[in-house]
Formats: sequence, C-alpha cells, structure tokens
Amino acid sequence: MAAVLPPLLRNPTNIGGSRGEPALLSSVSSHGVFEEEEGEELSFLAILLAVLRKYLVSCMSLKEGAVSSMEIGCPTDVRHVAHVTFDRFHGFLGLPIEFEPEVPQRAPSASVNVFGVSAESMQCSLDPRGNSVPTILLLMQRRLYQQGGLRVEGIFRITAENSQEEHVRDQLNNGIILDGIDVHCLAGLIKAWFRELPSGVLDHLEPEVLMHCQSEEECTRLMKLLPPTQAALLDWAINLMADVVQEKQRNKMNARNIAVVFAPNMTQMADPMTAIMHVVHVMNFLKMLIVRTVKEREEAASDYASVASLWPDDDDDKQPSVKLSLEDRRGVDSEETEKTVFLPHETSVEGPSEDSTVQSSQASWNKLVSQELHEVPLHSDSFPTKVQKVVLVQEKCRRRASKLSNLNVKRGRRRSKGQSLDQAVVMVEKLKGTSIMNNINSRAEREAERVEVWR
Amino acid sequence: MASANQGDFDYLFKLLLIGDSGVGKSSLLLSFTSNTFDDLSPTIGVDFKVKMVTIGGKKLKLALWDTAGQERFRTLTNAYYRGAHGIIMVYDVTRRDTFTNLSDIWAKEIELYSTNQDCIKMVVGNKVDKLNARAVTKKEGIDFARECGCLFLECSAKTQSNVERCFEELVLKILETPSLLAEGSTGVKKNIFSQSQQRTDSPPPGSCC
Repeated sequence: MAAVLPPLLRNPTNIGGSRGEPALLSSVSSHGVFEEEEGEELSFLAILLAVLRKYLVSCMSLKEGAVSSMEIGCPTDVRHVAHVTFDRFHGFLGLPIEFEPEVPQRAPSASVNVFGVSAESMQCSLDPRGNSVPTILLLMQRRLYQQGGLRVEGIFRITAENSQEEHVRDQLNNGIILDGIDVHCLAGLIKAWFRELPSGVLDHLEPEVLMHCQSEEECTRLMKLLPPTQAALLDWAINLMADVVQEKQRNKMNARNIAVVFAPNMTQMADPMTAIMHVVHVMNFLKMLIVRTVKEREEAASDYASVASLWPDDDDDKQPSVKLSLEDRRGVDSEETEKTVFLPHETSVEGPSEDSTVQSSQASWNKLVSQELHEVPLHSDSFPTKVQKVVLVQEKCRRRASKLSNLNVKRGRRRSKGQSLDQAVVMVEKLKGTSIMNNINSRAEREAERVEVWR
Repeated sequence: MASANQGDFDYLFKLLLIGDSGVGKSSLLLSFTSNTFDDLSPTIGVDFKVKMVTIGGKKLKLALWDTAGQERFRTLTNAYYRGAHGIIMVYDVTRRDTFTNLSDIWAKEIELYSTNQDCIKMVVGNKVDKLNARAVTKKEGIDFARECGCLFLECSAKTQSNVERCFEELVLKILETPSLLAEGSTGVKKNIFSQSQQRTDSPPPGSCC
C-alpha cells in the first residue's frame, strides 16, 4: 500500500495543489507505520483524489471542445431516404432522381478517352471467363465476331484503311460506336488499344525471364506474376487469339501468325533493336499460351463428345467404368483429369444443382451477348455472382479432392460426393476453356441435352 | 563468273521493301531471291537478304531489307530507311486499302525517314494473278506513281511474273543516278572516311522526284 500511494498522491499535488494532501503526506512520513484504519482511509482518499483529477482533466478538455460542439445541435426527425451503393461498372445505384443531375451517370473513374489511357481508369465489364476488361474491347470484339471477322483471311494481320481507322477511333473517343465498321478496322483498333496503353501489358515481366520461358508450364506460371489488370487483359487477348486460331483453315492465321502480329503491341521498348529482339520472345510466349488454350478447348470439346456417347440409355445402374485413380484426384485441376474422368450417370445430390449453376451462368451470358453492350450494361450483380459460385464450387471440389486422397480411397466406384465433385470440376474446366462467344450457343444446346438425359 | 565470290562486286545497293501488312513484301522477296512461293508468316521487324546480280556487265550486290508491315513496327523500322538507294512501295491490287495507305502512310514515312534525297522509289502492285479480285486498276497505279515521281510495275509473287523486272528496273535507275552510284560503289564502301566525305560533298541534284 505504502509503495503505491505516494505516487498517486504526489501527482495531484503537483497539478491541482489541493489542500489536505500535505497533511496526508506528512502523516505518512511522520508515522512511518500504518494502522489498518488509517490505511483504509488513505486508500479511500486516494480514490477520491483520482476521481477528482479525472473530473478536472475532463473538464479542461471539455472547455476546449466546447466551441465546436455547441454549433451543431442534436439531429431530430431522422428519416431513411434511400440506400445508395457505388458500383465500379455502373456508378451510383439507387440514387434518388433529385440527386442525379449532381452526380455523373457513369462511374467517375471511367475515362472519356478510349485509347492511350490505362485500363484501370476505364469502364470495365466482365468477359465470359470473368476477366474484368474495358467494355470497349468487349464491344469491338463482339462486333468483330458478329461480322464474321474470325473467318476473314488475314484477320489481325491486314491493316484497314488508315483514314477509316482514324475516323472510327475519333468516334470511339467521343463515345460513339458506328455501325458497319470494317472487320480489319475493328481488329486493327483492338491491336491499337493495346499498343497505345501507357505501359505494355507484358512490361511487368522481366525481358530475361520472358526470354528463358520455354515451356507452356513456365508461361502459365509467368502469367500468374502479372498484376490483376494486366493478367485479365492478357487472358482476354489469349482467348481472342485462340478464337482466331480455331478458324485458321479459313483465316490462315495460325498460332504463330497471330502471335507475331500481336506481340509488338504487348510491350513497349524505346530502343528499336532490343525491341525487335524482345518481340520475338514475346511472340513465343504468346504462341505457347495460345496453343495451350486451343488444346484445352479441343480436349474439352472431345470430352463432351465422349460424355454424350457414354449416355445412350437411361439405365440407372449401368455405370460406365469410372476410371478414377488417386493420382487423378490429386491433380484434379490438371488436364489429365479431364480426360479420364467420366461423368457418372448416377444422379447425385449436388450434381444437377451445380450443373444448373453453370447453365444459368451461361444462360445469363447468352442473355448478355444478345444485348448491345453499350445500350444495356452488363448486370454485374447477376453474372459475377454466378462466376463466383462456379469458382466456389471449384474450390469446394478441390478441398474435397484433397480430403478424399487423404482417406486413401482407391479406385473404383464412388458415391455421390466424389461423383458430384468430378462433374463440377469438369463443368468448371469446361466453362473456363470455352471460346469466348462463338461456341456458347452450341454449348448451351449441349448442356440442355445433358440435362434431359439426366432426367 | 557472277557467283564466283560474294565479296567480289562493283556496287552495293541497299533496297527497302515497305507497304501494308500482308501485301506480299516477303513473298516478293522470296520469289526474287529463290524463285519460290509460300504462305508466309508476318515478318518480325526486318528481314535481311542479299542477292548478287549482274546487270549491264556490272556485278551488283543487293542488300534487300524486308520490313514488317505491322503498325507497331513502323516506329521500329524507320531506322532502316537510312541510306537506302531504292525503296519499293508494295500494295495489293485486290485490296484497295493497301493502295490508299501508300499515299496516306508510306509515302510520308519515306519523306520523314529516308536520308537519301535521290533514292529511287518504285510502286509495285502485287497479286495480279488474282484476276477476279482486282480492286485497283493499273491506270490508278500508274497515276499515283507519276504523281509522286516513282517507277511503276504490277507483278505477282505467286506466278513470279514481272518480279525480276521490278528489281531490274529499280537497279537500272539507280545505276543512272550518279550520286547513288557514287555512294554504292565499292571503293567508297571500303573507306569509311571517304564515304562520309562523299556524302557531305555530293550535292543533291534531285533528278527523279
């Protein structure tokens, strides 16, 4: 007690200088020994003093804040008017009409100019793979596909007439999308958009690293090193190029050709000599990614074919020989799994629902595709959630896969859980590997067929 | 005698091929250098080929620079215009855009980047084998060539018709231009000092343009 008290007592004396304290102190020092009563009294006083001190301090601070706190009165008659949210793609949502003129309709971050501005400052939309890319790119892509540009010989290689390109570019910068733009002009503008970015999409990768990238796996690994914006742009571009390559019989643009014409637009280097050297490496990098994407798509397509042939009858018990080894499970997201995993006939608890999720996401995209992008904005609240759901499903599957492998379950028939897992994985992989727009309709049909078989 | 020694030649001329992507610059060059035709990939940066020819008793070494037509490469390849003796502007007779772009883009590029004021320019319309797809008439080509003071020819890299003649006419014209001849002669090339001397000394007569 004695050890605690003096500091407690001394401090107030220094500040407040209240009476009675010197006496107390003297009593402590003079008596030297504490009686029980006295000790109690002292502790009580100490608490009292501490309270007094706190009160004084709070009074002082109150005096300081008093000036400002006096000006605003307490709110009365509070009423909830509206709930406004801000969306990156659509700006303010739920804003009362009377406030609308004061706030720009579009997201303030969206740049007016289309060319030469960073993707971050542009209005973005999601492509079917969930990449957030500038809406203008999706729009040009859509027009290009609509006009059969993928089948035109030398698409993306051939230059459009310079004057038309200039004109269309000006209009785009003014926010106007003209009708009947030449496909080469659209293709040229897509390339120009990448070329005129403040920094190249692949400039984040070290030239030396890119140079030594020799395999598809390495390329995929490098792709993951990119910042999200650039990664999304690259993924979009790779799939666009894969779409072109899939029509190579008609357009004569194989993976190398399209990679060559795209490569110089993906990096920026000042020195012409090193730039050209670097472009060769970029070209190889792009080529490998395109080839991989096309391969994945073809595998997915052949998988569908095999799946379709596996379900000729509706017999519930006759299950196709499901070849599921432990290794398959571990590499559940690898391509091999896709090949060996058959979709079991037996309906599971989760299977159909997951299927319908994928379907609905496709349906929603179909809906989106059928709408003019600039007239009806993408429903970011509907589509992305679907995508997320699918991703979640995938996540769930992965977790389950690892669980299963831990259980050391050997090959053979698997009951609902494992099967639903495989379905989901295959579905997710398929969804991921789909070519952007041209395959969607046929896929949707196939999906519909599948569901029928299921029932 | 002509192919006896690569280093043994009287003149070295630098010829440059420019024009839109896909008009057939590389094909034209391949047709000229090895008499073959193939579906070629787009060119990256600049391709460089050498061909020895004998014209009018003179042994000539032709350094052929085949540039990429891709837009992005324009900024990278302009360095290659320097010191060219002859520039061939190629367009595709089946694609009108490639023809209009000659005046819109390529002629301007030459003005900007070519250091040689006397250099011989030539307009070549390629792909004349596609008879039904022609979009630019021969007369239009001739008119444009006259307008900008260029030689003109139509050819087909695929059938190899007129391909040799393109290069031949160009080289003959270079041989007729004294300032270019002086620059391309081996004696000058071997001596760097006298070469730079020659360049500063030779007055630009501006004969053909």
